Amino acid sequence: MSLSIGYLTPKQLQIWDYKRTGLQEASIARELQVSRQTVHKAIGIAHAKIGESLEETARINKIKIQTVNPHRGFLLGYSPHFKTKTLITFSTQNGIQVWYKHEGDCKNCERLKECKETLIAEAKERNLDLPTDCLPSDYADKLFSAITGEKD
Amino acid sequence: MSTGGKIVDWCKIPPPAPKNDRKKLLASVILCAILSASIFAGLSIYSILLAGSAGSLAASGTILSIANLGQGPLYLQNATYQQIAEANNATIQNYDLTMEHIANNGSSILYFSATGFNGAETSATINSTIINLGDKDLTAISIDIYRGNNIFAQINGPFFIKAHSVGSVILQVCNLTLLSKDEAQLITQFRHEGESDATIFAGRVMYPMTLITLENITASYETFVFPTAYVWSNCA
Repeated sequence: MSLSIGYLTPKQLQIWDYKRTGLQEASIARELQVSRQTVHKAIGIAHAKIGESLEETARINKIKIQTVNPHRGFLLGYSPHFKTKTLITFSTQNGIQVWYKHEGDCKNCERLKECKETLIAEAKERNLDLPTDCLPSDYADKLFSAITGEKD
Repeated sequence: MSTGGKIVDWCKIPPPAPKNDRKKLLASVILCAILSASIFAGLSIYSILLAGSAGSLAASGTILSIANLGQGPLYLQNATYQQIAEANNATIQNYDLTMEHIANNGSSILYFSATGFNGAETSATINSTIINLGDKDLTAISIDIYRGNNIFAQINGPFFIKAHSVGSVILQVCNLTLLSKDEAQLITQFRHEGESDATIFAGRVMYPMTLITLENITASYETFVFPTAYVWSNCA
């Protein structure tokens, strides 16, 4: 168990992922052939661990916390050092990721492909349809607005 | 969002450090060097004058003294309190997960939550959030930390919790290695018996904490610390 996967066990991660997609606890229990109580307990543990991991990441990166939402797997904050909004996301595919809002240059960035793949995986997990021919900055804008419910 | 051809959006790579900061940093370093030289010289004379008398140094009223009351090698250090934001009901929503427990206790003025973390060290940091939704400033006189039913550590105030404010108490719990042996045994026992135990949650030991104010308002929370036996510590 490591910080990058929110200190979750594979089973807790699976149950959290099911729950996030909107599956009821009873349905998750049926799917995994365990009791509903076990699912309920695992979800509680997963939320606590994810919340801690997001906050720990914020502290490591010296980010002032504004909102933490372990249910949806994100932390919104502000980096006094970089003087910019910061978002920390958690997903089963990408684990913990830190994002900064600033003037980027996606077209000339050497991490364009990697960034795009990360965002597409993040969107898929959250059942969001994104067009395939955009720059990561466009993906990120749509995706993170949907995750946090914030509009610029 | 587009601004003059450049894109302002989310990026994995952090922005470059603001250039002004570098100049400010250089200026600060020079200023600090001059100041520390003069303070050092001044303190030498002052300490000779004060020799023999007990004194304490308080930084902005945020450093709290800590009394270690209980048995065991665990000790606490570096406790600070800092107001971080204005509070309103939306703030409570943001801390929904940790506040749920307290809300059930019926306290509608003062909310207290704590998060202990780190998985592989001999120290743990506990970050406690204090939210005062009331219209009056409060004076915290103590945070009592329990091990089981016994109080084993105490963070002494006073520190002030402004009305409608969110604050943060951060403290370090050091030397967990030896303590973990006892706690690890508890967990093993818990797992063997497969029964619920009030002091253990998700493989972590719970340390209940209670915040007490001069105005007779209290708020409690159970915080968590990972019991581990790895040797790595940033404790002094």
